Amino acid sequence: MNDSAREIFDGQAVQLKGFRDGLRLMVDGSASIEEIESSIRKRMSNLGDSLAGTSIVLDTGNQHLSDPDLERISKLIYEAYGLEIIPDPIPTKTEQAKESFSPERSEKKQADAKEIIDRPIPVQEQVVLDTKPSSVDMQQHDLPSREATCIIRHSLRSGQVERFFEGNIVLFGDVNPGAEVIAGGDVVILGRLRGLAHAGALGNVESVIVAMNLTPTQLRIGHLITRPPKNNFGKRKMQPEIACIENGSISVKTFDGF
Amino acid sequence: MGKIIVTTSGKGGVGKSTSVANIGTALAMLGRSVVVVDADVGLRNLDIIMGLESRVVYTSMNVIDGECELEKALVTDRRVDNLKLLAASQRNNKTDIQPDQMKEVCLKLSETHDFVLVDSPAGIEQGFENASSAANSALVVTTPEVSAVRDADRIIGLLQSKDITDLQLIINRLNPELVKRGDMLNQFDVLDILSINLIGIVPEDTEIVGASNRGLPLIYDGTSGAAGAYQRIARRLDGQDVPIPEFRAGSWLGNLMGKILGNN
Repeated sequence: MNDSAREIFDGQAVQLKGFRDGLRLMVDGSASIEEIESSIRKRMSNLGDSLAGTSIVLDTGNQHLSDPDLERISKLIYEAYGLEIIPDPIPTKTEQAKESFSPERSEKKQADAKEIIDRPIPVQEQVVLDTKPSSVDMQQHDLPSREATCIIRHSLRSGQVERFFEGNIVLFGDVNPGAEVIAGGDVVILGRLRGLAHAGALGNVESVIVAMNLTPTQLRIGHLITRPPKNNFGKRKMQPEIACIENGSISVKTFDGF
Repeated sequence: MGKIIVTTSGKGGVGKSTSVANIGTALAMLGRSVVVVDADVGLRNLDIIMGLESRVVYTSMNVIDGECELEKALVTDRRVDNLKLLAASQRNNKTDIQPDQMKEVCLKLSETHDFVLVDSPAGIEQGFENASSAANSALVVTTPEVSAVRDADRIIGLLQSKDITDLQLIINRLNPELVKRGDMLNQFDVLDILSINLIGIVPEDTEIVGASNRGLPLIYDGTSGAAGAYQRIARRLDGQDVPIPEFRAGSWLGNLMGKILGNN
């Protein structure tokens, strides 16, 4: 693999990315199997079990891993993290991979990434949204407003879970204690959040959680976890609040616009 | 075609069987034909609470195994007209019955009765699946405790996913004194989370324990707080418009309790 392609991987042998059609584990096929495994461990250790039960596509780009190696990776991902490997739904994978790993393409990706980071609004940098490695034009997807968003029009009761790693979740209703909302991007609850919310579940620390009444059991953003103070009980007033990461910890404040 | 109503709660010990016994009896007293079905296979209770334990010969298991006709398995309560019990087998366990088999039994019962009240076991496993298989509506029982409300919320989610949308809530064992002291959730705290229709509040009543042990549902002695509440719930289930009274500390119930405790 050439240097610029290696840059996409940010020095790591694997990258976890969310796309509209699911999660994708991009594997640098030129790395050694030990390197890949340790990189997977490192990437997954931040996520806990939040991904358990979901399926994932193993994307080796234009590199071909040997069958025993593939099996070894699948086994690790399944047994240690509860993720199920599914076949790649995109048929012309090799060609697209070639395209996306070509030097020009990589540089462009880098440039786009930089541009995104400069924006003031919370954006996805680790979660590449809407950029299914097909013929999609990168240019039209660099605006935050175009991020994939999953809209849920009902309340979540205890035991119910909504997961959307590909982008944001907007929920019209309440999230009751014992219910969970997990998004790759932001979580917006147009109601009471009394259960658990995880924004930036793939590691995006720029993600935020907004709710009309924020009295959660637990809040998670990226790899950070916090629980509310005890005196939260019985806070009934509808007062929009926002939780985001500030100075390395999750802080909650009154939401009055960005 | 009668109504098939499953009574469920998720959490155990909140008063499902007591509610079924009392509401079933109250509905029969209103002149409806009622069958109460114990779906708690392996841990049957309803026959004890209704005082019919010694008269059980056949159970729903015998009916499902084809060993006995459905009509023959029903135990008739002789204290009130039109009240019958279909007991659960104590020898078997919940996985010995499949939801389809239970559904068939309940549907058959609903052809000849106005109300089929199914008493679900605690939990969300097969016992609950069996009990709710035929239901077209549900009575969700909870007590004003955070853990009971949490489980009720889970059960409501499961019932809704089965397309049982006629859900009615019973808040059982509300103690106005504890609510006043802030030690117990009030009805609004409970409804705030569960957001389904409230069909009745049953005040905490010390008479309930004795009544269950004697096998004589409280409803036969219709003066106490809980009996009155169950009567009103039965009338509401029967389509009557009965307002829900407010249970306040310092009300007649509170005063009565105070007198009993001698500190009034």
